[in-house]
Amino acid sequence: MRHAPTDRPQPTPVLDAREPFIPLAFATLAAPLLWTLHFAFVYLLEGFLCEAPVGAAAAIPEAIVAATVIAGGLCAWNLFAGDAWLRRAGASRVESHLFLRAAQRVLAGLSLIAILWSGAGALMLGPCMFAY
Amino acid sequence: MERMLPNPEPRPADEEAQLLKIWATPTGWRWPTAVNNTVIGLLYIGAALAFFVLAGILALVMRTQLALPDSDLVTQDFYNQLFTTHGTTMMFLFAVPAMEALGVMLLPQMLAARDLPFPRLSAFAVWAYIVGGSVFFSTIFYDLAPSGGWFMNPPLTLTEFSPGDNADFWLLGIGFIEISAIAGAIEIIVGVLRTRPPGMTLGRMPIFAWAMLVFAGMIVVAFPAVILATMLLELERAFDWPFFSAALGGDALLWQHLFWFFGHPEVYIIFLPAAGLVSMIVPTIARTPLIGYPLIVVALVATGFFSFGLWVHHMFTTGIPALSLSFFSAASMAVAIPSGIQVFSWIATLAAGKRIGKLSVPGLFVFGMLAIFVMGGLTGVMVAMVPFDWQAHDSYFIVAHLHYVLIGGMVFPLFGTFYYWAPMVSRKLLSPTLGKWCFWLMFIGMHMTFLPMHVTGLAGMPRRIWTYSEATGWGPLNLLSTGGSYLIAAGVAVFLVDLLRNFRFGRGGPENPWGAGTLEWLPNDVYSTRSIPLIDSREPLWDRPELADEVRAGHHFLPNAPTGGRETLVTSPIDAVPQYVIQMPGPGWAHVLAAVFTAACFLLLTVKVVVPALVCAVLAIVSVLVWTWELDKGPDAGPVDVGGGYRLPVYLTGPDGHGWWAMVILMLVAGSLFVAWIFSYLYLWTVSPEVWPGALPEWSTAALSALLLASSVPAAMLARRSLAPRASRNALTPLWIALSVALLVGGLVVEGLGQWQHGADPTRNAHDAMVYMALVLDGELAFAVAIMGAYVIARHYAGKLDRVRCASLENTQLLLYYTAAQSLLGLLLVHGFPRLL
Repeated sequence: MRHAPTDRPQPTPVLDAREPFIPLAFATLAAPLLWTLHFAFVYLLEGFLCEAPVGAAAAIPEAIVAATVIAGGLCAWNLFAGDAWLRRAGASRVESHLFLRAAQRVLAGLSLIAILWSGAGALMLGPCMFAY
Repeated sequence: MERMLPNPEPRPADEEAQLLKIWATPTGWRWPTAVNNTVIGLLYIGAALAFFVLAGILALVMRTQLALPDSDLVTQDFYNQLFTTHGTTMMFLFAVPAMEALGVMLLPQMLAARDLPFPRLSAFAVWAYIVGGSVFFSTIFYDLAPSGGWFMNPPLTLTEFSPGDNADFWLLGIGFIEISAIAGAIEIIVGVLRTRPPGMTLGRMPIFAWAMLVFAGMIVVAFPAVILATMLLELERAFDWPFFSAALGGDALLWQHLFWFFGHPEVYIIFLPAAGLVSMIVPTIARTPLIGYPLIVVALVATGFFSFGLWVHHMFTTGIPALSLSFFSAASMAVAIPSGIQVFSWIATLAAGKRIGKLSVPGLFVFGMLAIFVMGGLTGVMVAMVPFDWQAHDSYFIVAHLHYVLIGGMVFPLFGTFYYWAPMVSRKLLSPTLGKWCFWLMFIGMHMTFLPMHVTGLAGMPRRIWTYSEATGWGPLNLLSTGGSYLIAAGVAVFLVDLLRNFRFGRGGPENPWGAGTLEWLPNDVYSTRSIPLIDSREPLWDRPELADEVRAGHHFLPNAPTGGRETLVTSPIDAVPQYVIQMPGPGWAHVLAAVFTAACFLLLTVKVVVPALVCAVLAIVSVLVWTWELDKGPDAGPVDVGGGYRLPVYLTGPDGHGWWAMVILMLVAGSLFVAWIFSYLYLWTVSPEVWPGALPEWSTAALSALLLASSVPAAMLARRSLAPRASRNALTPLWIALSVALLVGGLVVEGLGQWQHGADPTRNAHDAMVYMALVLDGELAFAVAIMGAYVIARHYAGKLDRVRCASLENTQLLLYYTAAQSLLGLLLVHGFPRLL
């Protein structure tokens, strides 16, 4: 049973108080999770390809730029169209939905900045350069 | 519109007396068995404060040593022990426990819950921390304290350079205290998400609850990395498994990666709850709701994420590629944005205040915090710049920076908290006069001590130096710093005097003396609030002045004890809709003994007294089993009427049950530990690919192991399916449980034997050590599953297990599934990855 679309909690029995907590948490936190994946990818890529005996280090900047474009694009999508993500995850009640959407939007903005900053290094620095 | 109360009728006269009896705190020699959150929280805070004072005294000795050039007040080795014990105690025995203590103490009150959902777990964590922490700190008195610095970098801390038991006290003692912190974190996450009052949606949660939720989530992700690091270093020290020895394929930098993956988030783990406290105090000072509430929530969450992208920030000088450094530099600057959001929100709220007259003591500490933390934050942005960090690294500039951040970001908010929330548990307010003395002495002393250190650092004074020559010219600035440190100590002494004179634990103090709007200022007693209020705003006491009287009269939810024992209301995690009533345990000895025996086991292992340590381990396990035996009370006492038309069950399993949540969080902890192992395995391969083997055990052994591990899962499912209807038994159930455990353990034994027969030797090189480490991690979990399996079988024969009353089996199943999945993934990596090379 869906909750009534009201901001005021009513002391009336709710037969099914189950909520799609995990899907909603993922939808709300999608952007910082994307930042996490992007950060882990670019760090591990640089770290492993520079240190490990497998070659292919020259392709690092292009791979980082591609990853940044993809992660940044998904973040932007979340920023402008994240409402649909929340609805798909099961957001129903007006007040919580608005709160989660506000949080989702700001998180997406912050994550987008952080992803672009991380990726920007690849435009300025070559792969596997040691400063000393 | 007339508001409908959940329980509008007058309540029976004896109802409150029954609540008082049920929730009474044991007295006399039974006092240690108490589990009420106010008692445990106060004990926790008291212990953390004691460690703060003790570590502060060590700092005074260090500052006295450094006051003048060429001083020989203490020896160099003792100085090393002093700074190691000071840093370790402040970080592990004061800062994190103090914040967990405030969570235990304040959260149930802020959420109007009768207690946190696992009161004995909180009590266990506190006693374990007190016993373990006391023994660890006492090592400074008999020359056994570690001396490798609070981050214990190898190779300095390997046996070759740090013989004796000193480093082991750090490794086992702190590893153990981290387990206590994780126990607290599980309690806090489940408490915040599941025991809020009806109507307190996520968007109405007090900011401190948000801060504690993020804090606890960060502990779940961050602490396992340092637990793995301490395990690896202890295994190398005790058994020569070469994780950090370069000659055998190890790498000392692996420690730094694991340590700082925990260590940098640790700064935010300390800061975020303190910021949450400030966000609670500021609106009260300003008499206006917090400006930008959703932004502050987002700032807390974003900081929680971004802080995990900063760890190499501490390793800029270790020879990492420039592009990698740029990622961490970018994250270091990104994390400044959410921190800035919080600071600007506090300033905006204060600026929008309806009346800010003469500042109260908590207000002074908030303003002091703002000044100090902003200064520390700015030097933080400076050291986030790689070129500047190269100049300032390991100098007194860093000492100044970290103390500005930690004292501004945690100590000042904490002292503000003491003054602000003391009336909640004390019959008397703390003295405003002494409070102001305390503040000004600490504020002036803080700047006098640490501001000059920026200059001494830039002048080249390295951190951890035990003395210096007069020719360096550092003398006058060091003398000034030492004078400042004594001022800080005087401020703390004034606070202690204030506590002794005015703090009197108990009820009957002034109600809501600051005129705050949040629920912890509702009238309360040992049972927390008389009834659990229906909430419809963020500052319910401001919006509904009549709420306190309604709650006191029992007109809200659960005004009684319908099952006759300790209970609290469980609500849904997003909208806080009532779901069921938890039946909670009361006082007991088992969890206290479990804590004492666990601490004794770790400490005896440290000094290599193995047999008594094993005896203590067995006694600890027995104590835990006795403790948990009575937790699963079953559904018979329900359903119960809690008011508002809700008739709720008193027992739920599955994703609705609070035990399920706790087990899932525990699995996340284990998962984080395992991810840290995967990182370590691959990291060491990049460093020393030559020790990765050309020949591996046959696929057939790994396949047999995988088959056994995978088979344990359907066996566990069948165990659940075989459960008999309510209050009856099915003879097949224990057989399925035993079979599932046997298959799991068997799978690991086959893998271990296969590696051994193939000739893998954990002392030979880093690869083999890593292979056996996977078995250690899997084996620990399998051991836990085996104990839990035996426990569930015992419950079956005791008639306490059936299709409805099955929380214990459900938790065992969950852990078994996780263990099987982790072990299979480990097999895939250990047997598959080298074959790809």
